[in-house]
Amino acid sequence: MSETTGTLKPQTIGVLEPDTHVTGIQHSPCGKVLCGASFDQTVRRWDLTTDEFPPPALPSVTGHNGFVSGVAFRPSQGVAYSADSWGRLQAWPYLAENPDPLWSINEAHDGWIRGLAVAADGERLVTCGRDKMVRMFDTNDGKLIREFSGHREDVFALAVHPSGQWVVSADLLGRIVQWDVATGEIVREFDGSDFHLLHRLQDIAGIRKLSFAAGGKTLIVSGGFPSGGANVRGHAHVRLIDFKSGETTHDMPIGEENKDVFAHDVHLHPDGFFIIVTTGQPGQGSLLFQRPGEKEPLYKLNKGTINCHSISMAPDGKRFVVSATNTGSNGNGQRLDKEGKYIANHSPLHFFELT
Amino acid sequence: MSDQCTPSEHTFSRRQILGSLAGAAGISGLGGLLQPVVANEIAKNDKQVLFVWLDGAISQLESWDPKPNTRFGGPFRSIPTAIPGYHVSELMPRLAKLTNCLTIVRNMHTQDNSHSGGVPRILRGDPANRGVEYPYFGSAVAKLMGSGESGLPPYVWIKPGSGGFMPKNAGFLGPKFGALAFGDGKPPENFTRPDFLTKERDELRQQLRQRLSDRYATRRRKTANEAQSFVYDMAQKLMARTDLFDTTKLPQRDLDRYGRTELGQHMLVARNMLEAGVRFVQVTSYGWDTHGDHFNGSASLIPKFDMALASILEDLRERGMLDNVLVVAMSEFGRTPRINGHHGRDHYPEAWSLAMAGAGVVPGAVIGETDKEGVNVNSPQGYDIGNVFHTWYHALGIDSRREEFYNADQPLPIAHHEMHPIKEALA
Repeated sequence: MSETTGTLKPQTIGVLEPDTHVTGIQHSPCGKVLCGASFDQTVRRWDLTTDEFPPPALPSVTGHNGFVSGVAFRPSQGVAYSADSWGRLQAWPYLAENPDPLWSINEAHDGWIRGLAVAADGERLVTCGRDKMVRMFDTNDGKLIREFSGHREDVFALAVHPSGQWVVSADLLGRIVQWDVATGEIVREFDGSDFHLLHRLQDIAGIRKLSFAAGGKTLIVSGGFPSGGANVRGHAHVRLIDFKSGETTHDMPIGEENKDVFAHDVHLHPDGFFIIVTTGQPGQGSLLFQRPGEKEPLYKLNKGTINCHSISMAPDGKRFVVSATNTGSNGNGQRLDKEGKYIANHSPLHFFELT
Repeated sequence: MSDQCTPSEHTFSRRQILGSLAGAAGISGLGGLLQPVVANEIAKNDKQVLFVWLDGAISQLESWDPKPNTRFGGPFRSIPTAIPGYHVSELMPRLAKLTNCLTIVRNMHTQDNSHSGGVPRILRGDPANRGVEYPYFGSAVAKLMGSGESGLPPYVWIKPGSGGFMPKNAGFLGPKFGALAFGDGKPPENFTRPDFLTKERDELRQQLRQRLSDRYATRRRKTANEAQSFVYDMAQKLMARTDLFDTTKLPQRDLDRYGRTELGQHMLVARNMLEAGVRFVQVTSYGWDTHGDHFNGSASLIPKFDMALASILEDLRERGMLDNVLVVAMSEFGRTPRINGHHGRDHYPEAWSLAMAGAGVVPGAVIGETDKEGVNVNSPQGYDIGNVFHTWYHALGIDSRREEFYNADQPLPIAHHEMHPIKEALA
């Protein structure tokens, strides 16, 4: 573990070991519950109101299919929304002992919903998916409000501007589109084509997350510049765009080429550095802290925190959780454990505190 | 791992084809020791083969054997097919409608989980070790069935990247039966007669070459001479058929149906080759070794495969050719049920699938199954590639239980001597 050059340094609190892949973790806005979108068709939940570690598990959210893609919150109503790879969208009370659905839509999209976000006013939920569509739903009842049609490829990521006026979405080819929420029309486009590569037969999408910072003044595009398909090689990358002018203010390679292929999740800390997690070749991927404009990370950890897919900051701004992958997750052929059972992988959740 | 996954390719031209073949003939010589017993009726057989090779390995879980909503099932839905009760991945909507033309084997269980070992073992049929290198299936078919009436090269290989003559594919059969690879689906460079050379002068040159070859032949082994003559004849025939490589004059609808992708366009060249009577056409697609970002990779790759294979199956069926063309789509193994940290699937020979259609196989058959998570084949052993080779030979009208090759007095079965055809697959 390298030392940070700033005042903050992450200290490990502990590691929680769920028995499945948990790739989209999110603290509830009140900080009482940690939710994890999982590959086992559930949203896992853990109770953070006690001092116990590991935190006790709460009943999971069920009803999903395939992979659960992510979770978004509407704190004023205590409602969370989750989406899956079969197109189902559902709302549920995130603090309830039993999070039975408040409403659900089986075919909110035709297939994989890749991203969802709740607008700042809490009234609208926006989703994007493999069916090339961006859609807006009423958070109260799941009613479809508007469709944003214009992407010609799989839409991988979206973000809602803090003003609520615009939605931004990015597709397989790196086309980043700004939509007018009121009309559903395209306002403008940003070029993210360097996040895409056609390698032989495979189109590789590099943009994996969009988010806003600085009250909507900065659009953060994160993912990677692919350099090869199949195994998928490339270099993780974070781009900062001044949202008003559309100009790129920073282009940041993250970590090492091929070891850090995609920056899957990025959070801007109030102290001005990014907390970034990456995936890469087997045994690679890492947790990094990096300041905009600096080539080298302030901090990098890839011992234990390998092939990381998600970060969640606690509301106190001090604690955060990283979902990683167990060691030895790859290998050809049929790997069996000592009891002769076929080995599965899971996502250790690393709990940190910034001190 | 990644190094093993990169196919080696070589640039080539017509001259290089000739050079590589002549060189290999001089080195090998083994073919001369072997006396094939090829029945006349086999040689007269007009069956053909389309062999679609997805190099690196397509995932059975995202194609022919989905396990939705299970521990290793992945993100995709399964969809119903033309066969009641049988589902495939949502990534193959067009092939789903054509399953009544297909024979799908879901209980493949093979022996090698590396590309370097697995590819040649699979393509040679993994026979018992007899101290010789067996031919690839394409070379074996070329040897056993010949060029047929078309007179065109019996074993062509359409692939991305560069091409060349691949004598090593022929193993002990000798270089003549190697694959002629067309890189990027194009003919070799400098393939057409240059403008400055009139047809008459070209014929004179050929006559001179023939006289020199005849004189050369009196001092060389028969195998080398055969290879030399073969490749010149082949070059002459191909020079007259450059139309086979031209997809620009095809209807736009065909280009769209097959997909404006490398695989789609190569499959159109393959259709031209089959229509012209080429005995064995292999189409290879590279880049399937999805150890990382597998699900997004599959979402990009498999629909393109779906378009290309479904289109050629539809066309072969429409043209009445499917009864005569054995179609095979497969890889060297499958992919692991477990999902690694880069969200990839690794190599998995223990339980995987392949698809066949056309000549000699049962349409609408789904053979074998795997357990609920796709970890093991449910039948005791599943089928190995030796079983599949027997099946293919039988489908082509070749009795694979007969000993077809001899090395001096040593009989060499054309498929693994302890294995048998997959009876449920044979029409």
